[in-house]
Amino acid sequence: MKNNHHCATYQDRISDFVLSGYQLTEDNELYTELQQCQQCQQFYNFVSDSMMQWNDAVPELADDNAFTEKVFSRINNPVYAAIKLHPVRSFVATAAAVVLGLTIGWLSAASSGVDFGHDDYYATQSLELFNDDLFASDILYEMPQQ
Amino acid sequence: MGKLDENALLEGLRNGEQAAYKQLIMDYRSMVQSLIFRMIGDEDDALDLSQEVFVQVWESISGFKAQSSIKTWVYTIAVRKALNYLRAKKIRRFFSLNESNFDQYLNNRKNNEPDGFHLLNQQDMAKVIHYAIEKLPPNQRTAFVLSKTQGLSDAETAVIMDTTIGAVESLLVRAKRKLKEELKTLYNEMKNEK
Repeated sequence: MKNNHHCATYQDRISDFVLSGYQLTEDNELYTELQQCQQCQQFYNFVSDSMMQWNDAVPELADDNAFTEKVFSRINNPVYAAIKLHPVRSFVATAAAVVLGLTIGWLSAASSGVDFGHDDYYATQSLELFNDDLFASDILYEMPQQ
Repeated sequence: MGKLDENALLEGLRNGEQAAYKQLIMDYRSMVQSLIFRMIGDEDDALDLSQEVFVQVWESISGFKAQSSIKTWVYTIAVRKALNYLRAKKIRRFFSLNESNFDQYLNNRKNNEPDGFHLLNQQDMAKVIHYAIEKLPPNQRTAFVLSKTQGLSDAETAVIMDTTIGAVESLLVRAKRKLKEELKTLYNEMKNEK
């Protein structure tokens, strides 16, 4: 077993060697050196196996046609196109969508009879709702008997 | 229909021909997905971003001046997408205050295996380089991935990264230095965990 200084020096050379894409062969000076130190050998195996596995670890490609279809569907999708707008245009588009949504909401509420313009309407309605007589006469006594 | 050469492909793309566009996807899809995966390390997001790359190609083909090859141009878009993703991820991570992925990974392994950290399998080994690369600043990571895994020359990498060959060389030297340190640290961590 060599000393720690030796290993530190060689670990540096080993990493350099592997990261540069070289493969270790018997005629290499580093190979001779590694034969004499188990710790350096272990480190070499660690680095070179990691690099090899990383190079091989390519994501699995899904079906080419499915990929192409997905790209085309994104191109033709108006929602995606809106998201992809420039930030300023995107803000304007979002604001326009909010205003449109509120308008539609207001119109549909107004058409169903809600009068937004008169505070008295709510005041009267709430007084009526909490009127004891109303509850007693119209609702409670009409409940089906258990 | 036969395979189009570079000029015919470009012409077809500019005319909005779907056949030309499909050929572009077939030709570069694997390269784009692999590059993005190596830069961001997430398979699902790499697939998603790869699709975005080709959408972007479709949208900006009219602005492509053909001063570089189509391949270089597609690579440039892919690199930008990956860098934007990493920037957004960095912001998310800043707010989430999580431990690093590698610490998390080691802890999960320890919790799942009562005897401690066992011998690494192939999947683990691939993760080692990924975790080391994750520690690199984005520009060093980009230069390293383009040069070492995509086999591009320093000159091509410089065009894609919009910088000089000298700057690419310097980025590669710094990336390698940092990776060497990371590999030593990871090796020692794993040895101590055994």
